[in-house]
Amino acid sequence: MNKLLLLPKLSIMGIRRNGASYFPYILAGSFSVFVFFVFSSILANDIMLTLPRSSYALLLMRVGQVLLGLILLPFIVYTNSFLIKRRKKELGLYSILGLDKKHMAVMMLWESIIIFGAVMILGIVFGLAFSKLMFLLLLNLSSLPVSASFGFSSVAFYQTFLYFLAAYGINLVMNIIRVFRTNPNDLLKSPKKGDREPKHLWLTALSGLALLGVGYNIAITSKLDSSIFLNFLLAVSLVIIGTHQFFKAGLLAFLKVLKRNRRIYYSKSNFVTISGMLHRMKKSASSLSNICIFSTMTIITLLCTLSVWLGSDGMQDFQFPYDATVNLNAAGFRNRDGLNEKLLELADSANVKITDRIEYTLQKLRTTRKENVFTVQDPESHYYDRETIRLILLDEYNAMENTNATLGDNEILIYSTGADLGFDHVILGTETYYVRKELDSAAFARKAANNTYGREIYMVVSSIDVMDKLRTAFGSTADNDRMLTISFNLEGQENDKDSYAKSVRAWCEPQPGYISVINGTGGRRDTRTMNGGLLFIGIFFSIIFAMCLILIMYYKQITEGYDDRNNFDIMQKVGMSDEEVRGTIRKQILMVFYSPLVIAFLHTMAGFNMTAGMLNALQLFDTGLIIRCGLIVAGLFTLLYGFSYSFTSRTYYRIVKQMRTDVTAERRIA
Amino acid sequence: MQYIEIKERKNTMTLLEVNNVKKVYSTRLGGNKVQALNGVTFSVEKGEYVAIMGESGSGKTTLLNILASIDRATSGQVLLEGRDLAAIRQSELAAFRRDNLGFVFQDFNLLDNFTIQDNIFLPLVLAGRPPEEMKQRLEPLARKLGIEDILQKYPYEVSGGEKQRTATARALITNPKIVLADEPTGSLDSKASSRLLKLFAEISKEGQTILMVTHSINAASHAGRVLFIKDGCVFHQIYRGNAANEEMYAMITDALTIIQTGGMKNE
Repeated sequence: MNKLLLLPKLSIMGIRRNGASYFPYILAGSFSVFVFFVFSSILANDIMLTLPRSSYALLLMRVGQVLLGLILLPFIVYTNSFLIKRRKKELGLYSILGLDKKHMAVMMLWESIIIFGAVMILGIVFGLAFSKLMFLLLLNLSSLPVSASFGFSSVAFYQTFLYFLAAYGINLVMNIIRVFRTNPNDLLKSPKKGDREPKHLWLTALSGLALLGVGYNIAITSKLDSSIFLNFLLAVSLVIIGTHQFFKAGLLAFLKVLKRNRRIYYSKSNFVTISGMLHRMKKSASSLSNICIFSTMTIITLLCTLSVWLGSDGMQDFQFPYDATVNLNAAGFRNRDGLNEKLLELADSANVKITDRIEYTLQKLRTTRKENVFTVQDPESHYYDRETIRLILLDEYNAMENTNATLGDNEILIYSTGADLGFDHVILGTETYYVRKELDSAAFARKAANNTYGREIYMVVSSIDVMDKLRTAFGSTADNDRMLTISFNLEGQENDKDSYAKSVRAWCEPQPGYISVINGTGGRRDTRTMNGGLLFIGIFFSIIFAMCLILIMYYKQITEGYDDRNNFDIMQKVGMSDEEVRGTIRKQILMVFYSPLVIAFLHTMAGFNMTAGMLNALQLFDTGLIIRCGLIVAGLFTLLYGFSYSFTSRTYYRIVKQMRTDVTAERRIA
Repeated sequence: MQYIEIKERKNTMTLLEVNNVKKVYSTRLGGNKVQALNGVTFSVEKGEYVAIMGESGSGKTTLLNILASIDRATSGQVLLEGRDLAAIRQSELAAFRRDNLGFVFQDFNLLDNFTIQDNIFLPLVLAGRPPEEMKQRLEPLARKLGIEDILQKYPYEVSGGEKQRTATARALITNPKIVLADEPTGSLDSKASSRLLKLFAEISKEGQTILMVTHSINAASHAGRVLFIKDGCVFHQIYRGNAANEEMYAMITDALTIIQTGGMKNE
């Protein structure tokens, strides 16, 4: 046969013979291409730029695409390295049959071209078919106007092609290096040798536990502040390394302790299980760690996605308690009657009705806080200790809340939008004020105990004299003018409310003393858009993580299957019954396979505080909701895990049975 | 076809009796039938060292599998100390094998996840023996087989000869009634082979009954008796008497030549 044709033919044969491992590889690759292409297409689409309020979604998609690139590359390289390891024998055979390394490299090139081609074609075809649907899904989730015109840009093709060309190029280079580095003798040797134990088993085990401990500690104790992202990265890396160490050595060390005890080890029920697990752990430490890490990533991504989805309303309400808020400089703005008239007039023409109107004067004091002592802000002080106090007048408070609270001149009501402060008195400058009551709620701002980052402190004072006195004490600069705030809700159509708020802004803007008009309707819509983008990315990333997880699990099962095939038979010959053999092997696999799930749950629990903290940063403060979502996700994920376990273990049993069919067939006849 | 009935009986106890055992394989649809064993009859006395010879496809592996209770005969009887193997329930078979039979296979069949020592212990652990007893049994055996130094190693760390001696130790540690060996030297080099065969001879002298399937003349020449199987029947047999290994070797060679040519004339 023509040599030019032989090599590609061998490549195709190689892929087909290893179909059980290569088809999932190609499928996963195609899905990766599909997702990457969808992200690229959406990003490359001009419509995205013209849509109103699409900037959040666009930004998220961009971040998502980068993350996707970062995750998919190691995944593709990892799966390839697994596949090529399994084919040692086949390659050894070729080299003995006279295929020199150069030819094998060419064969590898052909294989890579075929796989790359298949993956690209499948991925892009599905991408072309479903991109528009995905785009509409994104628009829908983000409550952006659904636009039907979605075109494909060559940029998307280009990006996808280049990215995956690089990924598969790396694989090709690694395969060729492997071909050149092994000699036929090595290649032909059966891959029986169990991986050796790590050299310093106990040291590795303990360091793994220590890393996990430190990582957990950071995750659990970290506060929501500017260093949270640094802490997050630190905790994640520590936990990832710790997980690898733990699976490499921790479980081995534990099993060794069991093994050292003769009474425990040399008993019928433990002997085969303990040594089998030791063997398995040695061989599968890295897959188990990866399964564990991908499980954790899937769980946390799903947890965040579901929380954001279900908590979106709460987030919007927290950020924008009113449909519209007008902020004016109380001293600079003179036309208060004009404003009130205008508000009503504009409402009439916009077809909305003003309700729940509140109005108050706000005096900000810039202070440096030490416990309950507030002093004039020291520009040198750490921003952490700086605090802005918002003073509100008692009669306006009473009007807003429909109460008739009374206060002495040195008494205040205190209201924190975060956790309660718990002070019985505060010292403002030199004066002491007694806290008459700490408020649980207020009409003008929402409260959540776990709101730390954007926490505001309001103090209700008895009279304008007290307010002025404090203002003078804390410096009466121009930016310290009193602010007049008018907030209200609107009844009417969503769009009317939005345009009404805009027209109010248009009217107020040129007025002297204008500060801002907050459009609650529009703001909430922005939040929805951002949440929609997060959701979209969350869904895709969960699927990607789950896919990585299932593929690694599947490959693990294949490996186990080939390993156990012999053991099955030997143990039976030595005197274990069929059921006993099946039973112990099932037990081992269950224990080995569910250990990553258990550890992943531990990781999730340790990371809960941090996850909740980041959701808090998005102003999702409903901890109960996050916990509920966590439980739902944990349940769903256990189902998914169990399902993919039983799905992949079918392959395992098929492999094990391949060998045993002869024997059983004979029995059937007998 | 020639058939030699064995009338001569030594004055010892019969351990294994094989009576007119037949084995028919048929394809799943029941169409083609293949007669693997066609009425095999022989018996093994206690303490005997018997080799079964035959070419590939002669049915010797099928026979061994039936003796090992891994496979069942289509008809006929196999009695171990008078107990019919066919009457043993499926659920008891594993325990029966463990308690009565020792196996040595061509490809060793050691488990890679166990050390050499634990591989040898495996049948005892399955039988629920205490660790002290296992240790006691192992020590003299390991010394005899020359594997004391590798007990803590794993199968993939030792040579083929050492693996096969390990497998032998595993077969012997339960004090089985009979050791069944399937081409035990088939994967060994000549040096390892002769060491193993010497060991088998020693063990046999100590009273262990051994039944070995082989097509190596050298291996068979160490046995006390050689049975020749052809086309599913016992075709011929040779007793060692007082012959040395070399004489035995020559007798086997002669017999094989006769069987080959005689067989051809017959067909």
